[in-house]
Amino acid sequence: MIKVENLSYSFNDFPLLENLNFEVNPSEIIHLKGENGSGKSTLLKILSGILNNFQGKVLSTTKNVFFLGHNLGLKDSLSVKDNLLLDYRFNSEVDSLSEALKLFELNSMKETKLFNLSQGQRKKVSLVQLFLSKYDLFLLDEPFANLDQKGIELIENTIRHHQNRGSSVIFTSHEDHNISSRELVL
Amino acid sequence: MKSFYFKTFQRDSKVYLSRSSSFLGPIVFFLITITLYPLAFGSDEEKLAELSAGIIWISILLANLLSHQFIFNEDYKDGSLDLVLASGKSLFLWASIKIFVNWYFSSLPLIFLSLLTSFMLYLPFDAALILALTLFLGTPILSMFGALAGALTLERGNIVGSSIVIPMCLPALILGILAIQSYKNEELFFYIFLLAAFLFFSIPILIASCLGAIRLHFE
Amino acid sequence: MRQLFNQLISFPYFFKIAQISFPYLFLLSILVILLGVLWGVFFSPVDVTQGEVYRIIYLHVPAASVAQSIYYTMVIASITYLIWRIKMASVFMISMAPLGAIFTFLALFTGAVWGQPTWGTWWVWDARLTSTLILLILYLAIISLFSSFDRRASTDQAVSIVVLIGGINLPIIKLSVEWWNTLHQSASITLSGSSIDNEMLIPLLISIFGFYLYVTAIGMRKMQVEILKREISHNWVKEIFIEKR
Repeated sequence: MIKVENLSYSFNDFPLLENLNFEVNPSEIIHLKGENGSGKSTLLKILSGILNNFQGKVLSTTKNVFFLGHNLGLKDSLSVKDNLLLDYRFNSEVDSLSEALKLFELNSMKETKLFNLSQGQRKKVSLVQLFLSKYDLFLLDEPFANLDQKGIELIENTIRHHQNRGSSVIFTSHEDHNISSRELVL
Repeated sequence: MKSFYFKTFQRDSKVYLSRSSSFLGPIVFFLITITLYPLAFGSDEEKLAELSAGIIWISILLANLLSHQFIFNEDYKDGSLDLVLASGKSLFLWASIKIFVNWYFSSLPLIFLSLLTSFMLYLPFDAALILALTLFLGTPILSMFGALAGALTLERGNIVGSSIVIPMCLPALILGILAIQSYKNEELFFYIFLLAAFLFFSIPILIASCLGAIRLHFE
Repeated sequence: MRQLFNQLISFPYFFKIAQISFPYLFLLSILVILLGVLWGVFFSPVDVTQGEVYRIIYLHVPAASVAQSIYYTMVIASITYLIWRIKMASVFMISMAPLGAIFTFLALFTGAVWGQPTWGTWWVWDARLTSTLILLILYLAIISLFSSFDRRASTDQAVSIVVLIGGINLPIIKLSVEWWNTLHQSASITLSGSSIDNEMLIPLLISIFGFYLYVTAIGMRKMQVEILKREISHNWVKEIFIEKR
């Protein structure tokens, strides 16, 4: 699905990623590990096309890529519903929204403006997006941060659900997760 | 399923309308700047009539640049810009829509307001109509320069951005005022034409520059 | 030709060339400026209408000319950087902008000193003065951009974008300022005056040439400093300084 050859990236002449080589197959879940500042987020940004002045090759068979970054891309002044429906990544049916909101226990806050929500709830909103969207490749930067145990299980299930549909997932996390088929350490 | 560009339009419009600060901010700024001039120069009718076109243009220029300063800033901070870049869609159209939405909600009200204030500054009615026309052609230019200022200083959002673009806006200001001052002569059409040409050529150059400026925060 | 160009845009090669040629170029420029200015001040005839004051043109005109030329060369550098990503071009822009600002200020200052006794005023909002003032503001704005970014490449690109747009805009600004001027001011003061006498022209040209040499020399020096700032961790820099010791 995606193949990385001799990928290097430097910030102000300081090498952040050096000569990376790896491959991601369909239906594979990869856990990206590494210390703080080892370039995990940067690698995900390169794979998603946000950063493009790297050296080496990134070959991809799909352009259908979902990115979840450190900053969630949500608008404080919009309601939960608008934030989900007007998100650039939303590519599902509008009807499926309330189902998903119930699953994530956000249904009562559908019309609430986002600035009334806690950090954890915001995270959940962006994870509803992850749950709903249909993509070939999911790049998730710290999807488990700021979540309680129940939320973590929800995400693990969501990731499995996408895997069963044939999508690949790359995520970063500091904890161990038994859903991953492979670990990649930077 | 809505298209990427339609979503951009709707998202930005909703964000704009949901906040009184972004909507009323430029209007309040414009009105207070206009009020400063008579307070500083005195209420002499003839003097104000002579200065009025310039007063209104300068006030609009400043209000417009300020209101467009942060047009990409929020998207940069909250991560929306990441998603836009990841989507692989044409950024040119995306930036155009954003600037248009901002212009529509912040500059268009100012143009109507400027007609109102032109009476308070004793500008002849015919000249006021020309003023509105020059603003209609000129404010999009200012908006794009404002957006460029914001795009250049995404991380910091400081005064550097606007001080860079104000000198670049001067042709628009000068042509606009020249047109108003020659509202009785045929030269009027010459200046209006030039202003329109300036707008026409600004669009591709400035939007491309905005994108270049945004890109440099993602290298 | 191509090889020569490639060599010139490589930092170590340029650094070496500049290191060797700077003293000669600098000395030569000082000599030429002295020749032009001294000739102009002591040996050229007195202007009939303006008297002795006019002699400041031997500083004013070269400064104004250099001030503008620097901007145009910066525009060429910005295009070079934006298209071919040649780092030397950005080094050039960043080194030259402060020089441009200084010479623009010098042009305005000598103009004011000239204007006071000649026309009785330090400053008029005349088309040429106004657009020179705008040029100064533009230079300062570009310089203020230098420290706005964390990444060097970002600074380079931002500076090139602004320089380029300013370059496209500068002729338009000039034109519109001229139109503005004709409408606002009946031409009571003209700076151009009568055509210039040969005996004044020759020292003036020498002085202009000297100013260009001076800017080239100082510009090279500033570029060397900028290169050192950027390449401080590279081996060739270390080698040069170890050799020196």
